[in-house]
Amino acid sequence: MEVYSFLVYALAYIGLFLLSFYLLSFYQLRKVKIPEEKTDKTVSILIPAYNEERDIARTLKSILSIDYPKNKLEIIVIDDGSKDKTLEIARKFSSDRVRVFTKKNEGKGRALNYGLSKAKGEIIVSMDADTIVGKDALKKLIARFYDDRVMAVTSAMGIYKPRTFWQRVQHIEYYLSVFMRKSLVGINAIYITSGAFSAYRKKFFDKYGGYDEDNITEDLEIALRIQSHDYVIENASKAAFYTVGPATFYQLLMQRRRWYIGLMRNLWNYRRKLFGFKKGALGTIVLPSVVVAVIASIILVIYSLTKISGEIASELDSLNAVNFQFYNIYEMYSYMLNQFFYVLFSHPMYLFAIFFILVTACYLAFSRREMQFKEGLKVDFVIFIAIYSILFVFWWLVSLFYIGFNRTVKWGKK
Amino acid sequence: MKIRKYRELYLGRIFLAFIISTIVFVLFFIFAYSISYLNYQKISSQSGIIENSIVNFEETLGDFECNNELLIDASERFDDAAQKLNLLEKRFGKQDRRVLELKERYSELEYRHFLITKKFNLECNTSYITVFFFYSNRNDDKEEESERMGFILTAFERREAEKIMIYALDFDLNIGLINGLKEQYNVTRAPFVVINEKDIVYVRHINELEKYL
Repeated sequence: MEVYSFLVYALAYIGLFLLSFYLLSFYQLRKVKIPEEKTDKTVSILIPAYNEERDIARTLKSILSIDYPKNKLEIIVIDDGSKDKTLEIARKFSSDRVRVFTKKNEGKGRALNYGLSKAKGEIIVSMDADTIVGKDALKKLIARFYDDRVMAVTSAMGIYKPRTFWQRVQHIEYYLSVFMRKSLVGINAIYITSGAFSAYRKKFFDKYGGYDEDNITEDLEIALRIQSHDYVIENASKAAFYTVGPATFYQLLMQRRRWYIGLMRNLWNYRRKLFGFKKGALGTIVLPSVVVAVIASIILVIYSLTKISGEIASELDSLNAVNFQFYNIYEMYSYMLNQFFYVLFSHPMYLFAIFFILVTACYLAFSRREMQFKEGLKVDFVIFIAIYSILFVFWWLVSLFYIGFNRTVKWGKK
Repeated sequence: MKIRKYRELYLGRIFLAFIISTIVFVLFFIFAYSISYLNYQKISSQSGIIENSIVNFEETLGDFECNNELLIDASERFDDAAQKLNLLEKRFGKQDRRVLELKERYSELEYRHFLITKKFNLECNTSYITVFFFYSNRNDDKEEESERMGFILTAFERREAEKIMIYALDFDLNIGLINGLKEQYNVTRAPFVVINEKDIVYVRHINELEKYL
């Protein structure tokens, strides 16, 4: 068996194993009853904002219309030295419930810590300045703090009104992560609490310190820190919120570069505390499989692209050798189509591919139902299946290049 | 608490997941091989049909009527079977006993078809161009060259379906018939084509075949 086939089958087997494991965890956890909504805790929502004049008003309107007792909710906007009208717009919302602060620009981690120093609630919710929250999202989030060991709760994230091609790709990606988080919660293996809308117990910050101010993915670091102290990260998959995704290829690349470099650095920093048997499923299955999946994807996609480009070149050469004319395309390729369908069901490799595409579609259907999303996703799904693996590998290669050459990456928008 | 205990007791789920994934993984292979086997049976029965049609055809040659419909029909079936055989070879492997048996059988049928075509040309005033295509898939370079030449021949055959009969033979198949043909036409390496039993050509472009029309 050639190396390529071996890698594909090894990856398929790992994929099947993880799928079985996550599904078992997912379905067994459904038996555990947890209250759907609760409003018994005081909450401080922190909204750090830097040059967010376009979205901040919409975000504040959304959070002010949230269904939660007014006397138990405070909103803290931290303007991180914006150069536009963010502060001016935010101040229009100032009231007993909304407090607006401003400070010089020092990055998101410091802005959040500044907000923490002003917060009075038992629960801290970090929220991006372009996040739109569902009316009942906070109640659902709070209900998940059913146990003192639950230190953080994540929610279900979607893309707000996806318009561009790149936002549509993220649209599907975000929905898929809804199912993944739901599965990971059954083994307490959530390792990212999105900064866009996640809740934490304030006592964790009081005991273990605030956000890591020099970390480019402070939301990932805080989740790993919670896990490293053996606490629980819960998930409220019905608590839906939407964020404005990067609209262009370049913006998306910059975001992913920051995420992936942050992931590599944080996993390396926490390698001794989080990898291994003592950390249960997180240390033995989830985090190692993240590393394996990234490495295997890079190898497979590069190999496949090289192979496909070689075949296209050879195909063009053959077409040239028969004086190919475009009107013959159906005739010449009808037999290739026959071959394709003939091979499709008789080769395990293709069967695995079909199977995993179907599984992805099921994940998506689950997320749609959880988030009560009504719009069609078929076109976005096809786009996602066609290009995501290539994009994923490209983002990783760029990130590895930055890590390899020790290039500096700073916190930018998203 | 119940949920905490549940999270801690994950080893049983790992074990169960291991069993489920192994069973599913094996099932995928069984399913794929079952489909391949069905394809193999389909080709086997197809070779039976072709053989019957050739036998019938040979029997009717006694009262030779120069009806070429059966000849062309058999030729089309050969093309279809050759493509499937090629896929089967990729699926089961070049040295698979079933594949080798089928190839041997097809080579013999092709040769019988060639003899009939030759008789047609002699006795029915037709001028079919006969092409023996000796291909090889022993290594990647040979396979690539052979595929390219096969592609050109297929295009040529499709364009001139009424005039050309192509017989694809595996150069590396060690059977008396192919060895005899290699010796008869002095073909020492593959891929090569023998046109009308006399011209041995390495085809690089479809234009090189035009002159034989």
